[in-house]
Amino acid sequence: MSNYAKIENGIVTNIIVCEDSQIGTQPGHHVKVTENTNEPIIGFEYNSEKNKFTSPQPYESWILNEETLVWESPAGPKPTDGFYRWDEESLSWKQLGQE
Amino acid sequence: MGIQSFVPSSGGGMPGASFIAAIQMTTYNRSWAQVGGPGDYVLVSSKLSNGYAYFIQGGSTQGVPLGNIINLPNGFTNINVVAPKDDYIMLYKVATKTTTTFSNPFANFSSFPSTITSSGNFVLPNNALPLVNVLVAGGGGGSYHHSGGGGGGNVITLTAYQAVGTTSVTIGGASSRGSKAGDTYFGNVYAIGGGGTSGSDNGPGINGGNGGGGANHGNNNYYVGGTGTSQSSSTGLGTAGTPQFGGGYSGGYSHGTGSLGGGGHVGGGGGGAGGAGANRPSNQRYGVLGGAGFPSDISGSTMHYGAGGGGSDHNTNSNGGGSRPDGGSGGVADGSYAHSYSTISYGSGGNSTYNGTNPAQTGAVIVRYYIP
Repeated sequence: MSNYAKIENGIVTNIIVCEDSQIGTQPGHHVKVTENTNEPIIGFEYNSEKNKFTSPQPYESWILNEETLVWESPAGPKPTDGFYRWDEESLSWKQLGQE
Repeated sequence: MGIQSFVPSSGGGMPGASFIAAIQMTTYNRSWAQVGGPGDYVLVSSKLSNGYAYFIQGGSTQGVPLGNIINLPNGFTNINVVAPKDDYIMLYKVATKTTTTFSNPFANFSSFPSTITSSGNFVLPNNALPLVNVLVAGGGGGSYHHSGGGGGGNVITLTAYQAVGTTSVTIGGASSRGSKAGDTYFGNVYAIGGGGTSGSDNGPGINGGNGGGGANHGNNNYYVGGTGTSQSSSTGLGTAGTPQFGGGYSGGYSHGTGSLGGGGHVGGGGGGAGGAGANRPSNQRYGVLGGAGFPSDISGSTMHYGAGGGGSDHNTNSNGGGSRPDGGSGGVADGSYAHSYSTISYGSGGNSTYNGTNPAQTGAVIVRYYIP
């Protein structure tokens, strides 16, 4: 059993559960979700050439990695040694409780 | 021997229906100047042919296949008939008698629940009654650790729904935090998936069938839960099978540290198909409940579908979130809710806990069919 994203006009409109052998019974165009496609969320765009889903731009300063179709912050990945939030004003990660 | 006549001894024609008039279809399309008052009518082909007719009254037109009874509350002044040439079409007024309901209409049938958890087709067995009872649950919204609970999927039940042959089924998937879960379809009837908790550490819940709980990892702000979506006949329920709807509730809000020391690392409960998610009080640090699930015994015992997930406790790490008929618990100080109830079923939102989550559940369709 796999998850499939329903695509309409290049946008994810539903996420469904389906056996691979039964996906042909479903009306519309569906794309199988795999480790390589990025996680689809309803409203995300689907790039058929790269077979990947991509979110809307989360912040104005973030840049789309054209290879992975993942938005990246100008300050690099989010630190993993605690809880952080992105601060668009200072273009940096701020640790929660330390501000 | 002289000419003999035949007179029916009694009855004849259609019992309970009064013959009014007939026409001959000298062409396949005949316009018939016939007046009738308000009531129930039927047009019948002498050859039992298929055909169609339109009853006209002023600017109003109502169509009906031949052989089907139609109610015309305003009567008619003309009938346009399309049927095979050379047939005779007879018009009857039907005397419709008053009736009452009776209890346990399916009691004398053998019944079987079919639980569908993967998209495909539901095929009604050939020997089954063409009326089924159906429950449709949307997917559950996702949660996150130290966050809010996910919203449960909306739930729709159909009673004595006419389902003949094959019906297309689509099962809505569960979501992660920051997203809405998938919608579940049974034919054209659909139940909207629940909204997840916030996609960021501090933020409002996501909108869905039932809204996800707001999240707060650690600041002084207040974040609302996601909004639920009530469904109507034009937005997924349809009108067939006496649809009953459960859901449309909001997720609970989260609250930051505040002047009373609420804590942070906490969130609101996700909305459920049977009730709203609980809010996070500003002066408390323990987990809150998600919204109640929608109870149904369609599977054979009473289960709760589409319950909301609970919002996380701040630091009660021994009390993981569990599922409850009245919504998930996100970890409660006394730990009494730190387990999952067996009566929670499909479409429930995920619970947020101190150090993890209980994943949201996918949607489902349950069809109970009957064998005479």
